[in-house]
Parts: sequence; structure tokens; C-alpha cells
Amino acid sequence: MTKIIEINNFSDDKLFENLSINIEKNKITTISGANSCGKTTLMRILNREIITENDILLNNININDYTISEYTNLVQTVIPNEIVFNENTLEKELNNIDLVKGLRIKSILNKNIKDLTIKEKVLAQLAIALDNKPQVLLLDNVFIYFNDKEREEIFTFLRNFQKKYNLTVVLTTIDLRDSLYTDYLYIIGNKKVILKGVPLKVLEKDNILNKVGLNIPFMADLSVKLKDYDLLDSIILEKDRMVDILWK
Amino acid sequence: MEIDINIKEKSITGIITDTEELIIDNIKKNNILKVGVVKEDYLSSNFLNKVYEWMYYEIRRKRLILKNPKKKINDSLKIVGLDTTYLNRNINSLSSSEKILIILAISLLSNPDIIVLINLFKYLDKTKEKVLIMLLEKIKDQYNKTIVLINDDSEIMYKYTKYLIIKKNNLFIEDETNKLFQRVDFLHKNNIKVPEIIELTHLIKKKKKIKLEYHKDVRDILKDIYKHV
Repeated sequence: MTKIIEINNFSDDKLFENLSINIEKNKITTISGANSCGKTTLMRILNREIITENDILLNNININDYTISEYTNLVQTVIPNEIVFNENTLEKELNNIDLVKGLRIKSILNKNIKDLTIKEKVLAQLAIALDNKPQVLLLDNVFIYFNDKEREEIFTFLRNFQKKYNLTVVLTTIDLRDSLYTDYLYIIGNKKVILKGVPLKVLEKDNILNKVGLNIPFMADLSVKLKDYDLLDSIILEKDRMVDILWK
Repeated sequence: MEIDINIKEKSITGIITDTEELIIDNIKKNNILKVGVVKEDYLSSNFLNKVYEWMYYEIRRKRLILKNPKKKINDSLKIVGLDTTYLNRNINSLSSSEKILIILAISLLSNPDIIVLINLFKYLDKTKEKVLIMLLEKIKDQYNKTIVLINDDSEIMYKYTKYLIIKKNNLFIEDETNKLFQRVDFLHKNNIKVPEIIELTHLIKKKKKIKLEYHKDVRDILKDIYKHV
């Protein structure tokens, strides 16, 4: 595993106590947890909006040791509703035309940015962040604005983009369905990481996830419970397949 | 465009729609009752600092005539389960769930008969989701309010609403939520997402001719599957 971000025993007065997270290079990692567990704060810390003396490394160098422009070239962040656009329209901001097709944003290219809906603004933010070709893309609770179909399309696009440009993506979410599109999942609770691993393995820990207060995706939840009754061997997300296995 | 929307009084009605502005306009037009709208837009960054500034600003913006604004603010906060210490909190320090309670309190300042909440559940974890629905039940029962949830998420609608209206993709239907979601093939044809638990139950019936009951809780369908495998 090649680590690109290392958070080692991070502690502050309020939210975290010995929080340790390693983000693998060229992967998509989910960080999840209940409301107010510090997900957005963590994104702001990684975006250096909140300065900390704790040990946080990017490519083995403390994040505070980068200049602002060096860091911005390496790390781009999307926090919905917090937008700094240089131009009035998205068309003037973008260079990479692939993004227009991939994110289906042709219809908003020439709209005044002030007139965009929340969902359109998030897409615009995402496009601009990707346009800068960062090494790391941080997405804070971005997918809540999209329905299931749109989510799938964005994740598919993001996966292709990630492979093509060796991008590392870190996303926070309250909705564990998002984690199913990603490579690794961290769950924060009681100020530290309480679960980590491949998403389907983490979702097997239903008791812990319920205690934290997270909704487990229905098919994963049912699979885990059927596993407890020896009716299944693993988590099955496809309904057709589950029905066929249960009634062979 | 005028549409005839029937909202059942003193109940929780869900609306799945792609034309929320049209729906809200029609709810307002078709009712002599006062309507309060709680929108996700209000969660985004605010140019005001403190909660009390926000609440007084909304009183001015909505031109509310209140005999005793301070008391009304305190009462509204109390209804949503917040104390007056929140008035001095910085808006930016509030979590999404706290902001939702504040905007709900703001909507109560005008003493609406119908409270419409648009797409707010997606910001909440399971615990906070239950807290909000319990609060809405309390507001409905104790203060005789009618609650309308406009939401895209069929899982939320199935869990928490009694009646459901779907106005989407040229489709306009209404019924009890449980009954409406059981019309799986019809909803699929119209590109309406069906709650996963219903979809699975329907699939089992279709593929294996096994008729399970339509449940809401994963533990109930689990027991039913166990009985039938």
C-alpha cells in the first residue's frame, strides 16, 4: 500500500482523540460517521482551512510545510455551497472539455454561476476541482444532492477519471450506499476510527454501525442478518441473485 | 399551471416530485391555511452571524407582525426542543441537524397550519432522522399542524409518511403510501423508485411464487424469509 495521506494520532479539544487514518494512493476512500462526528472538520483540516500542529502528512511531508500554491496544485476540495469562482460562467473556468461530457454539465456552461441550483453548483465545483488535475480530491458530503442514477453516473465517471489521471479521492458521507462505489471505508465514532476496511466487510459489523446511528444499505443489512441464520455466506447486493440463492 | 393537490389535514403526507416549486405554489393557492416552507437552501452559508440575528431577520423578511417577538422566538425554539442558549450560537458552528431545527423553529414563527419540509432528511443520520420525525409527529399532534414532506427518497417516504402523492414524469397519483408503493410494476414503468424492501418482496413473489407480506422493517422480512426458505 502506498500512502498518500497519513493522519497520525490526531487529537484536538473537541472532536478527535488519537484519530489515525491512512489514505491509499490512487484509490477512492470513504470516511463516514454520524452527524457532528467531525467529517467536515476533517475535510477542512485536510484542506488547510483549519491549521493544526498535529502530524498530518501528504506524500510524507507535513501539510503545513507546503506553500499555498504547492498545496492547491496537489489537493482540491469540494465543500458544497462554499464556492469561489473566478469567472461568471463555468465555460470560462474550464479547460478540460472531457469534464463537460462526463459530468453532463453542457446545459450549465453558460449560465451565470449565481443562477445555478445547489446541485448544479456542486457539479460546477466538482468540474473545476478536477480541471486542476490534483493528486488528491476531497469531497465533503457531495453525493446527497444526487439521486441514485446520477450518483452511479458520477461515481462511474470519477472512477474512470481517477484511473486515467492517477487521482486519489477522499469523500465523506452520511450515506453508506456511497461507500459501495469506493475501495476503502473508515467509520468515525467516539472521536476515533472505530471500523475500517473494504466497504462490504465493514458493513458486516451491523451492531457497531447501528450503535453509531448509521443506516446500513438495505441489501447489505438483510444479507448480514441472513448470514447470521446461515442462509447466506456473504453480502449480496443484487436482489435477483439473492432470491436465486435463497430458493435454489 | 394549476393542479389539485389533496393534503390530508393533521397527517404526514409525502410528495415525490420533480416540480417542487409548482407543488408549493399549488399548496399555497389551494389552501386558505398558512403554509410554512422549510428548505435545504437555508442550510447553506448565511451572511448573518448569530442565530438570534437570523430569527429576527426572518421576522422582518416575512413581514411578520408579532406582539412579542422575543417570546415567540423562545416558544418556537422550545417546540423544536432547543433552549434559548442557541440564540447566541454562531450559525456557522451549527451542525446540519441543528440548522434544520432552527429553520423549523423559524417556520413556526408565522404559526403556519401546514409545514412543508423539502429534502431535509438526507442530511441526517439514522438517530437524527428518527428524532426529527418524532418531533414532526409531536408538532402535528400537539399543535394541530399538517406536515408535508417533499423528498426524492422513496425509503424515507415509505418509512415515515401515511399518504403519498407522486407528481413526476407526467405521472400524478395519490394514495396511502403502503398501497401506492405496492404497485411495483406500474411505478417501475413510470421510472419511480420503489423502496428496496418492497422491491425484494415483489421479486420473490414474481420469481418464486412465494407471497411474503410487505414489511417495513428488515427484521420482519428476515423472519418471513426464514419461514419460507
